[in-house]
Amino acid sequence: MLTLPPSAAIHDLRSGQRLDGPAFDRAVAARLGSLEKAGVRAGDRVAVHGRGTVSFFVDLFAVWRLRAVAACLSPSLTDDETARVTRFVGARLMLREEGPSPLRDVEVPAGARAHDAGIDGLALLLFTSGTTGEPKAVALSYRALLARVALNAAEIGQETLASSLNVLPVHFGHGLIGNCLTPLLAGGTLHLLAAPGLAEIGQLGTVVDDHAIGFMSSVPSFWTLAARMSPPPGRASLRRVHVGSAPLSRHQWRQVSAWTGIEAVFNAYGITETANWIGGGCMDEDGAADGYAGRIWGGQWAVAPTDGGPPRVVGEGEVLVASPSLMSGYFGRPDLTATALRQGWFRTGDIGRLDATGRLTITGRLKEEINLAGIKVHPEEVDMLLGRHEAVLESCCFAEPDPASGERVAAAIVLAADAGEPPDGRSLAAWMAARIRRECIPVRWYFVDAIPRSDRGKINRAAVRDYCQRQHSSDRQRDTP
Amino acid sequence: MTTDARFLLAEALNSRAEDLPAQPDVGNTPGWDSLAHTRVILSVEAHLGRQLTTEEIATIGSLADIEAILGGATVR
Repeated sequence: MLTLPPSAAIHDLRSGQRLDGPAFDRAVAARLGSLEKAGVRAGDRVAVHGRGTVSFFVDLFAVWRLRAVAACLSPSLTDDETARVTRFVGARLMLREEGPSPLRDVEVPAGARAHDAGIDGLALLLFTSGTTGEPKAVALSYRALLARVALNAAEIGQETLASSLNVLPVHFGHGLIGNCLTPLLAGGTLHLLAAPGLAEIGQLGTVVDDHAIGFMSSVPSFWTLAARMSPPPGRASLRRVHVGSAPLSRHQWRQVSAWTGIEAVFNAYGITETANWIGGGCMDEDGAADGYAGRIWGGQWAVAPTDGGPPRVVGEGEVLVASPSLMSGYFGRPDLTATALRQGWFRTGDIGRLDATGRLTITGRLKEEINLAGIKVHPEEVDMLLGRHEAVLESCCFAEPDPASGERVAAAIVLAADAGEPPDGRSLAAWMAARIRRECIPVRWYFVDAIPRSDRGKINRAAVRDYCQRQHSSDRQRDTP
Repeated sequence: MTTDARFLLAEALNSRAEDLPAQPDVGNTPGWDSLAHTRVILSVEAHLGRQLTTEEIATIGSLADIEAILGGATVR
């Protein structure tokens, strides 16, 4: 169901490994043999370490050829997190660069093996949070993936996708589905340079020229650095660039447009639950302002008014999406699925304004996730871990602005009265490092007597942030001679 | 002595000046990744009041490089 066209090719810019469509197909067939030998069958879950190499894609397509389900994991997960999520999905096997390894501590209960449900069977699980508590994994069917890549290809154009560059991590929808599967399944060549280092970013223009890159996507923070560090490309191969996963300002749009030499720089809007991009727009369009998300690329969007009325196609409210690329639900979490999917609409948690021509501008958000350069951190997950520290009575994590990543994780901490030697931020961060992926660890710590609450006893993270910053500011003023 | 540039670098790395290596550079300093590097560049630009050139940015790889670019500019 998911196989590469013969014209497709995949090329790892670091190792030099290059497989054309037929060679990739043979590699997948060989990998398939090892999966079958390990007892993997249709409907089984297989954990795939998301390292973004040629071998990763071979793993992925081998899992899919078996009609099994790939649970794609972030390479930055700690061992504890990996164990938790693989247990949660009942994965039989972990696929890493060095090969497959059975997950010995996972017991797959009898009857847990799903039937091969054909095109509506599950293909991919992408984790959005919950690696310290109950995991939250977006479940995407073969139908959703096929629909998304077909809609993306129709929007972008096959000629543009003939040579694409991926600089994004591949354990989330933007990198994996948008930037990798879309060009591959459209028969193009995908050049891999996932999560480039500083020296590689400094060579971006040369890479674009050398491989006649026509398409690439990334996050705003990538361009803040790349447009400064790398001389621009000189051969005019770029046809279209997407920027997503975090808000793109008009200033940044101009910066990217100037570096790339094209106006087809799209602020792409999407969520993992919609299998990545669902729409997008160019900042040079009439009426485009910061947060402009343009038109939908297949499907429909609407807004739910705050007064609780029915969805509207013009107005402002929570953005709702209906699309053939919508997730089937959150794996094993019917409670969360019922909240997010209602009458065919997915509630995005973003606030937006839809105009009479169907163009969307994002104006705010209801959800509390912290967006670090496109990587989403759920503060509840961080609070849950901090609550396990013996010296922490209570914590409240929140977003603070950051000039590079857009937002950063900060934490307000109330220490337990019997904490003994009270920990500082550095020791709390060290304690967390073995238990949670790096991006979730707060970089600013505010030790407070109590977490401020509303008169109803509720915690508002934005209010806690303001309180902490006021306290910090007054402390600094007191400290200044 | 803790230099102004050391404070700037520590801030960009979400660290403390006293926790940095004696001669910090991209290769020996934990946390000096692409995001931290972006913060370093933006912070240097803010303190100089101008955008750095691509050539200047290409020279930044250590605390000594930051000190050289900042020259006598006051950081704190």
